[in-house]
Amino acid sequence: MSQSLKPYLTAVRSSLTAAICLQDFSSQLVERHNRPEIEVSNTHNPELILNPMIISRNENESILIETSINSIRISIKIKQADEIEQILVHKFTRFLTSRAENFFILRRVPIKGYDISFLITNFHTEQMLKDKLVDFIIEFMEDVDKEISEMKLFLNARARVIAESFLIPFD
Amino acid sequence: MNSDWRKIDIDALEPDSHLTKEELIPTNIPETTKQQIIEISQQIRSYLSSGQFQNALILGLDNVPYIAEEETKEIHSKTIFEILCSIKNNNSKLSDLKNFIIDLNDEQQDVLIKYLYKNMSTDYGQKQGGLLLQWFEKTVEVTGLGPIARYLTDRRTV
Repeated sequence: MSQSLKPYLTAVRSSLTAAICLQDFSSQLVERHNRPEIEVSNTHNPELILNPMIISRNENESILIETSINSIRISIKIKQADEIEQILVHKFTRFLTSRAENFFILRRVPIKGYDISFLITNFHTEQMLKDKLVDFIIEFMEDVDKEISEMKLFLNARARVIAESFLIPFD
Repeated sequence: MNSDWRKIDIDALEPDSHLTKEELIPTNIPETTKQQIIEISQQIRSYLSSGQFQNALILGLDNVPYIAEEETKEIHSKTIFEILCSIKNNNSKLSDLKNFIIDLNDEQQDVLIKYLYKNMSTDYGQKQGGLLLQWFEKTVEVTGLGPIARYLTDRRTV
């Protein structure tokens, strides 16, 4: 693990552990509704929303954690150094978000300015262990960088082979 | 009497049924003016240039503009950022940072966490992300998760 990745991940881990402290909470506006308060436009109940946290490793890598009484939204900006990585990240996150129902906590649409968002509600924390949820997010952040750089290497290798075989007739 | 009582807008009869954002801000704190903050930042710079890092840090963390204009808050968070940078630049060992944090009291540690989060969300802070993360790591090692939970719930934002 690189030198600056470790403090980044420990900061995210401790912030998430402190932030995931959720309870069941019925809507104060609509009777018999129970909605993730962070997703509702909360001009009426600002007391339910806590201060947002931004943890950033550099300009290109950061994470936004928004907490409310019964839900927490985590948005991750994945490192994108060049155009190839931008395309790869876009395709990768699209692949995941289009299968969001299998991931339970994945949000279908990321927050503006970020690449992928998770939404954890009190129902998730009731069914799953909090530590495992935090571990999952951390592991995801570790793996996604690895995955993207691996894919980039494959892509370059493949492009080289294709270019070679294309140019053989002119040799 | 209107018989269609289901259509009565009961919220209109009781307008104060919900809080507004302004009401959440605590009122028992005196307002800080830009002039005061500029004076404090000058004092801090003179501490820094004479090598009294601990004093500069404590002065910065004790005088927080909770109730102030956005510009004033910005100035102070930049000043705190300068202190953190210059302490890091003058103390090469990571364990030295820990000693600075241990010497702060609980309130000052809470404020330090607030400013670390605030600075990480700004452009100049993101360029020095590694430095702020090291500070963050050491602070949490000393204090545990308490200051983070208090950051989340505290309406005295920096």
